[in-house]
Amino acid sequence: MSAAELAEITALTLRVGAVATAAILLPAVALGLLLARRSFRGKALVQALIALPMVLPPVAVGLALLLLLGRRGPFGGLWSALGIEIVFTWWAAAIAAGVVGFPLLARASEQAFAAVDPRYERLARTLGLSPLQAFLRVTLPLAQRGVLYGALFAFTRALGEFGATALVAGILPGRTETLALGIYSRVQLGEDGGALALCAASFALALAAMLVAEGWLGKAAKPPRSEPQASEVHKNRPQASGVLSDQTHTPGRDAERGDR
Amino acid sequence: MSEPSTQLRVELARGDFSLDVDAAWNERVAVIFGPSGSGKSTLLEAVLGLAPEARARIRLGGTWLDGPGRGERLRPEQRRLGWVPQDALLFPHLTVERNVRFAAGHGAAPAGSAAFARAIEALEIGDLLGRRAHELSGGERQRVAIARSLASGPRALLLDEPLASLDLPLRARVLRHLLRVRDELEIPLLWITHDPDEAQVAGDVVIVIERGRVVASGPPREVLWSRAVLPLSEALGLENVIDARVVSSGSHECSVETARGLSLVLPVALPIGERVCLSLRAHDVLLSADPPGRVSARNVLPARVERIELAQGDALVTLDAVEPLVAKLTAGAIERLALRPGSQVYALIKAQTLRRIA
Amino acid sequence: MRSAGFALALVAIVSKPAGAEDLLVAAAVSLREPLETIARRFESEHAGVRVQLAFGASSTLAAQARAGAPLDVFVAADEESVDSLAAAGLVREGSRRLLAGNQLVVIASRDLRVPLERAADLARPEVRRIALPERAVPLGHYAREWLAGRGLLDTLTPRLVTTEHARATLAAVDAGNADAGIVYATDARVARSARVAFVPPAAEQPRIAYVATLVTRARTPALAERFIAALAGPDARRVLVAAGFAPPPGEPPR
Repeated sequence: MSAAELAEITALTLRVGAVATAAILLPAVALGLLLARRSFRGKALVQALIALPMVLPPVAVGLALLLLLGRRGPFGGLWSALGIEIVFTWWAAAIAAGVVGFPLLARASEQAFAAVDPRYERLARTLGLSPLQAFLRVTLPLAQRGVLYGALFAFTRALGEFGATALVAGILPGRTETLALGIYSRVQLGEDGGALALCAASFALALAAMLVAEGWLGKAAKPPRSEPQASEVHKNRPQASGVLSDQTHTPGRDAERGDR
Repeated sequence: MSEPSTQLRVELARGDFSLDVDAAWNERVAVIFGPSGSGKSTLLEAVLGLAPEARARIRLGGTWLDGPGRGERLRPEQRRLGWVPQDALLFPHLTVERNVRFAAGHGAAPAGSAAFARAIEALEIGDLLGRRAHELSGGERQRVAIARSLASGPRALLLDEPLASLDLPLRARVLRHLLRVRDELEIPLLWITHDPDEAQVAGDVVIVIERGRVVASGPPREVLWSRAVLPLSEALGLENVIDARVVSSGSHECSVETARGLSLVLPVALPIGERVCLSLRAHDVLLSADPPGRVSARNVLPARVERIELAQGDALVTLDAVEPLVAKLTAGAIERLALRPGSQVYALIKAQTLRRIA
Repeated sequence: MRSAGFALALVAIVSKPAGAEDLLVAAAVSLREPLETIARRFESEHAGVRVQLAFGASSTLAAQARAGAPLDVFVAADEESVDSLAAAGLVREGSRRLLAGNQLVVIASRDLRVPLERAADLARPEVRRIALPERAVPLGHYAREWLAGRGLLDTLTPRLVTTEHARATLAAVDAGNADAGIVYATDARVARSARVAFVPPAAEQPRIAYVATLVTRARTPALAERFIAALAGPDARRVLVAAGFAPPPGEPPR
């Protein structure tokens, strides 16, 4: 396998992954926010439907997409009339990658938003912010890490997508041959060298993604609990010590300095 | 007769709990007092505009927040109320400075740095500006939260259990500080608490809430010792509050005197001239019908019984011991000592039971 | 947060998709080596043109074309695959060209110890697994037709290991995962460790024909036509013969 070929396949894979992730970003995060903040009838059903592309076999997802997007499915006439060709193009690969990554991002976002105390947003409201401003300046920054983790996982899932992509986009070199599809077809052809080269590229991408996750996102580690929480225990004990509890007063100084 | 400047009429049902509050007052500083679960937080939400399902008519310091007419309900971001939540709730992703500046430019907050500078100064947090919430102590967080509210130029300040999340030794200090801030402000203040100490000293009027209903309202002393509030005493612990000044001091103790001349001994050395605010639990006051002989209590005060209120086996005895005092005894004790209004007794108070709250 | 978006955008810019002067040619996998040679020559003779080759089982490629794959030229290992496209209205009338023929051979894994000299030997107990593609694939069809003709299909069916296409069959025997297999003579020439066990006599060989056709959805039909003409031309024929392909069936042998 030539370096150019390796580069082309890797670049195509990255492009498919990037476009897929960018496309699902807003809807998945918005859906995650909705699920985290509201309860409504049928919420469990919605959550189950969102999880489907994650729990179904990827080829089943691919078949569904083939029917939806292809010329032989129920919308075939529509696509022909509009002159739109989706299947077996690069777009189909991106759609397949996006669909399988969507549940990862939606659920990660839901968890991230649910972990943010809603009181922060309400407090921001009382300080004069509209609901949207409060979301953007408080909730989103606080949920940011979880959402980005979700996006990263959706991205890596998109990079490795095979089953759905094989059905709906085929293995067309230069157009839809991603790393995963390339490995498969080379194994079928007995080209182990080429297959291994693509494996190495996949490994490198996956490693890079995980390092980004740890280094870039993981470094903003949770702040240490600097207050010794043992003080909580004292709160409800009946006060036995009376005036003695305030012995550290020194005249003339700001009383708070001796706090810690 | 003009309408009171503050009116709270709130009706609200949530699950098993229902709130039906009707109270009004003119004083600037009011305390909402009640045990946990009584509805104080829910009431606060309604005042802040965060309980849209409530039926409310709310006027605070002369301004209608939920007016009588249709469409006179202000959205939360329009109310310009300074909410200081119970655990400060500083935005964890921002520094102290950005927390305090948070409201700048939004809504009706004055965008100028004057409000910011004043708030920093009043709460003395100037050297904390670069830090984050998790690097601050409980008391510092509290001060930053108040500064944040003040910097937004609120038309009223709402303190939600300001001392509840602080360590006990801290509370006296922070309370002193808060009372100073209170005095420097001119805007209305709503102080929510379940602590009788605070209820006594924080406000000019106390509204007592229990199970979603107003049980009593009026000046602190009156309200907190009234019969209506007696059933709460188990949950709250009624307190005596005594203001005094240190008149003499030894190596391990000092003597304080109230304005009316009542003298008490405290088991700690304090500087002469220092002002103290002491609290004494009603059930820590012993009564003796006869002059006590040698007893361990440092303070033995002659007193006259003014009033006795009985409820559920307990008796609340109001005394005149130069200063008004309340003692809690059993009904049986009243009988045994044959106490009646007018009886002369001696109140015995151990020095250690006098707590300094400010 | 912002740098994430930036990185994403940067990645998206890399690698442009197919351009206008590109031909997408789908061909039976056995044509791999000669077709690559022919395609490179075509590119060098037509500046700015890129010929993209997709190889696979003819039946799979035809199915993809029917489902909407944007092929310009289709080269199949049997007429049936092209017929299926024609039935879907995807073949330009009169554009079919017969390119070459081929032969079936039986290959054996390097590790097989028993002799494999004629069809009946395939029934030996030591030949536990026999690789060939599934029935829909041209080679799979040809191979089963031959086995049926020898009366061996039913006996051997339990030992058949189906693969995706001719080269996958070869790879399976090369790797020792199958004891024997049936592939084209041209495939056996690129085997790594598998060896040709025997070649069925001419009388038993099926009619194998490689057909090229223009797909009606082609974006640049003129260019596609020129490519097909090149495929049918003398230079291409030399390349095919050098790779071991037979002349198209029906042509008198040279």
